[in-house]
Amino acid sequence: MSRVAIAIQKLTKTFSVGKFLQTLQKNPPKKGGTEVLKGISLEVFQGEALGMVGPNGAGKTTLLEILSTLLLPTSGEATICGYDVVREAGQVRKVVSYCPSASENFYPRLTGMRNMEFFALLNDLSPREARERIQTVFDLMELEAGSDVPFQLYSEGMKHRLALARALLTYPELLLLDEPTRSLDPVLQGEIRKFLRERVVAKLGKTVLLVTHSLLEAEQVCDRLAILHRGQIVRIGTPEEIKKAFGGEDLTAAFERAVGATSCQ
Amino acid sequence: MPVVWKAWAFFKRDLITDLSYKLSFAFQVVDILVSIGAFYFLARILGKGAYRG
Repeated sequence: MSRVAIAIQKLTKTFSVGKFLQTLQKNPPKKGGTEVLKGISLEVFQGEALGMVGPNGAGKTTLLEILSTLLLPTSGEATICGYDVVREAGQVRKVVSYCPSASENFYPRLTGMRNMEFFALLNDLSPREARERIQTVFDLMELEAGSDVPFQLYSEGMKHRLALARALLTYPELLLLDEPTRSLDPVLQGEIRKFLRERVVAKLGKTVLLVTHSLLEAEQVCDRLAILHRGQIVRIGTPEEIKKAFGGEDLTAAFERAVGATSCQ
Repeated sequence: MPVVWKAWAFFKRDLITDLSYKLSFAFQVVDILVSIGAFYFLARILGKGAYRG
């Protein structure tokens, strides 16, 4: 856990709207745009699971999108395994997998297997490599039974597992997970958390940055937590350190104190 | 080769998706055949004289 997997230095992101579009908006944003991330600095070590928690609109997904090279930062610097997310985006994409919160971004009429084959070939794998890796991740995620079923007939749980399987397809060093258990029943949530903790982090040794609204999930899966509020990191530490810092009897109470009594489960 | 595999991936995806809409796919094939037939008979009606002006 000594080598740094993610290093972020004074990262900012401002969403601005062009002058023409501003004239069309009823309530145009204030001059200079909307500042979503306000100088974030953070380090995540290799083999570590870091949970990112915070109220809606805190900037969690924006941060993941910058780290996965889908968005450009306004200023500051972020490196993944030593590669800069702006200047070396191609290298970053080879070591990072981003699993967005919506599990619907598959082709509904294609089977799970065909979907995976498609994404494997897009990730520069040869057809033979693709078949081998799909078999491996299907075994890992226990998806074998659904491999020949069209995606549109998958249950919510299977969709989430397929999304995780796709994220693991390229054998990434780093997994960026955006609410991987959203809209799942408690049993399935527990299974996915267990899988992330025991298989992905402990066994495979992957680095995980997990964005979640569930403090229980963050506590169960992650080594450390970062509380993000209004584009700034309020606190980073182990769950125990956070509880101690904010004086709550449990993590929810500490979180509410940290962000000023904002609702969170 | 990765470019060829990527092109193949897109082709296969579109073919499987199209084939999954069975009736629509059958109509597309019939439509193509009807169009070819229509152009064939139209060409025969006009004959080679159409080129002479």
